[in-house]
Parts: sequence; structure tokens; C-alpha cells
Amino acid sequence: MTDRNALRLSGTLLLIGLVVYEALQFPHPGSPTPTDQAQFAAYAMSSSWAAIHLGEFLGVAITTAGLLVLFFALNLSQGIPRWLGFFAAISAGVAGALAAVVYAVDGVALKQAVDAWASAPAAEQATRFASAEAIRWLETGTRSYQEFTSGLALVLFATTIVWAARIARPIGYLMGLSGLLLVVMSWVAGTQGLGASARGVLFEIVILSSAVWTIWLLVVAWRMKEPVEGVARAINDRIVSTNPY
Amino acid sequence: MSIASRNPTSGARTDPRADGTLLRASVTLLVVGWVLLFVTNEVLHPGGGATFEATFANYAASRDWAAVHLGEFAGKGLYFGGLLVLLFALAVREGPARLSTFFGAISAGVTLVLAGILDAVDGVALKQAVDAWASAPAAQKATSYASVLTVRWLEWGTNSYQNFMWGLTLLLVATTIVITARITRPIGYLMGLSGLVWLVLGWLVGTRGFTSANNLPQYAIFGLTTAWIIWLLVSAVLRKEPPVRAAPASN
Repeated sequence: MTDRNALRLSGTLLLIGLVVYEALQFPHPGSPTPTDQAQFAAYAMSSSWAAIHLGEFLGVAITTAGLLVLFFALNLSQGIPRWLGFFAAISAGVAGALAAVVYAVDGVALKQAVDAWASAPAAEQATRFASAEAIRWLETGTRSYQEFTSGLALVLFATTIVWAARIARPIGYLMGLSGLLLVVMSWVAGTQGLGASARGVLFEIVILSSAVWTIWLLVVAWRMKEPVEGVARAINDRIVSTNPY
Repeated sequence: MSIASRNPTSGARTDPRADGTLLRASVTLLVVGWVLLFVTNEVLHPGGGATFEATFANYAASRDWAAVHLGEFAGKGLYFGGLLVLLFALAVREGPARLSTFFGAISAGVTLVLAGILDAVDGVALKQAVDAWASAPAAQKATSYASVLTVRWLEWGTNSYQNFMWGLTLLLVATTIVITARITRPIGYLMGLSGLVWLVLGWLVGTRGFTSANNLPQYAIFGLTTAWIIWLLVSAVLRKEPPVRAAPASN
């Protein structure tokens, strides 16, 4: 039986994580010109780069926590769904660790490199730009693999949800769609770079589909009735707490 | 379970004390890890210079750089191993502390992964870069130096996020200690305080790099960590094991 309280906690964490991450896309600096020079110049102008990226990492960490709690909430005791859920949780943990690496590279190293490039004398501009690009490629690589493991985690969780049918299956279908799109995004990043226009469209669909299944999950969790065993325990607790002896 | 047999105050504990054997194992790992970290970081690690160039020249002159950083990583491994064993020693199976225990263990694992990446960047890549720069002909110095700086910025980034996760781990373990009170709560308060200082250090490294502004939080971390580890050691040594109860005759 699904653990109602854990499911509520999972849904709440997933929604907070998504909102934090999405909200920080608005102040994230960027240039409409899709060249590294234009992007780096915009990044170098930012005075809140470190805070924005730390906040983004926080959003990803909260989402990871929500997925890990989801594994416990589904309360799978045996069979293939338990193994699927277990590997989904492992994938989510690996994706969380990779996210820390992504933000270490993007949130700190890239900012130092673009600042050094923007303030370098003309004779050193080419060398500094090469350094910034090297870090950008590292970011591309780590982000690609972070998105792949995130996508894998979502696909595995989705399969678990659909297979076990402990919560509404359409949540699993939408979660699986988000996961597959993340895998495609990771492939585009790994082969065409972070600036590929296809990534922008895919990102918007991932955010939209994630918002739908996250809110749906939260609604299901909050409308779920307390199991009979839980009611009995609550009554017992109340009797004990009011018993003077 | 009948109503009468249920504990009305807390569902989180079946034994009000931590597991003694695991507690001693945890303290041993923490003490050895922390001493190893101190020796490798403060005694064996080559000192910095007044400028980046002077610092990198010191690093290039070091012969035991790889060993020092491997020792540093081993120290972190023992330290986080000690924290994980401490979470097992607290043996939380129910209640809100179960969440802080679970996420504390996950966070410790992620921190150790970041520590591995940090020591890979610092202990191997940076050394290769400073050696290449130090031995480069004059015409290639500027290019080699740019490579060194690139690796150094990557080190700042991984160091910064390692510190954030280190702080988060300590806050979660401290929360478990304070909620369960299976070991004395002030150890948890000191640990939590040191976790907060790790977060401050993570921010400073991420925004300013390795500067003198980091000295004060580093001293605070050293003092607070030494204090809670010694307190934990003393409480584990002075702890009296409960007498073994004779089994009822009817059993």
C-alpha cells in the first residue's frame, strides 16, 4: 500500500524543486545571439551568477530528494517493480551528484574564466577565450550526462508507477515522457552543444510535462484517504496520549 | 501491538542509547580521518605564495604532491565513513529523524564523490599543469599559464560545492543527533554550527577563490570539528555498557 504521508512529502519536494529551478531561469543571464562570445559577455556582466547557480543546484537537490522519497512512498516490497524503483532511486542519486559537478563547473569555474576573458588585455584575449571555451565544453559534457541520468531515473520511476499501479498510471506516462525528452536533450547537448536551438524547445516541453505530473502527483497524494491501519494507529495514539495512567 | 505497550512519547526509539560498538568504530574513523586531513592539509601540503605565480611555483617544486592529495582523500574517506557509521550507531528506524538520517547518508556519499573529483583535479590535473608551465619555454609560458588557471578555477568550483555538501551533511547528521538524543545533544549543536561554517566557506570559495577571507571560517571549522570529535570520543570512552540481562526462566 502506498505511504500517503511519504507521497505528500515527495510531491511537495518535487513541486518546490521544480518551482525553484524554473524561477531561477528568469534572472539567468544570456544573450539572444547564440555565439559563445555573446553568451560569455552576458555572463561576465552578471553580478549574481554564483547565487543563481547555487539556487538552481538547490532546486535540483530538492527534486532529487523528492524522487528518493517517492521510492519509499511507493512502498514496493517485492518483484520487478521494487528493482525498477531501486535502480530509479540509484539513478536519481547519481544525477544529483552529477548536478553538483555541473554547478561547480558552470557556477564557479566558468564565471572565473569569462570574467578573466572580459577583463584581459587584447594580447591575452584569445588565450583567455580558449580557457573559457574549455570550461564550457566540460560543462557541456557533465550537463549531458547529468540530464541522461535524470532522464533514466524518470523513465525507471515511470515504468515502476505504470507497472505497480499504486498511483494513477497517467502520472507515470507523463513522467516517462519527461524522462525520454531529457535523454534526447542530453544527446543534443553531447553532440551539438548547449547552444543548439532544439534544446530550448525540448527544455520548455520537459518543464511543462514535469509541472503537470508533479501537480497531479501532489493532488493525488493530498486526496488520498488515510489507510485503515493508519486510522487505527492514530486512534491508539490519541487514547494513549489522553490516558492519565 | 496493544495500546498499553505503545510508547506514548516517541515512536522513534526502542533503545534510548546509541549502539556502543558502532559508536566506537565511528569515533575511531572520525579521529583517524580528521588527523590525516590535518596532517596532509596543514603540515605536508606545500604553502601558497604571495601571487598565483609564486603559489604555482611552490606546487611545481613539490615532489610528494600526488601522495599528499591521495592522503587527503583517504582522510576524507575515513571521516565520511565515520559519519555514516555514526548514523548506523544512532539506529533510527522511525519518525522524522529517519529522514534526516537517510538524507544525511546520501549527502555524505555525494560529498565524498565531490571530494574525489576535487582531489583528481587538484592532486593530478593541477600538478600536471603547473609542471608543464614551470618547464615551458618562454614563448609558451603564457599559454601554459592559462591552462593552469583553467584547472585552478575548476578546483575552486569543485571545492566550493564540496564544501556546500559537507555543510549540508553535517547539518543533517546534527539534526539526527539532536532529535534522537541518543548521544549528548551539544555534540549535535557543535556539529551543526560547523556545518553552517562549511556553507559560508563554500560561498567564499565560489565567489572569491582561495583568499585570506577563508582563514577565519577555516579556523572556526578546525576548532568546532576538533571539539565535537573529542567530545564524541570522550563520551564513547566513558560510556558504560548496560549489564546483560539474564533471560527469564520461562524462556
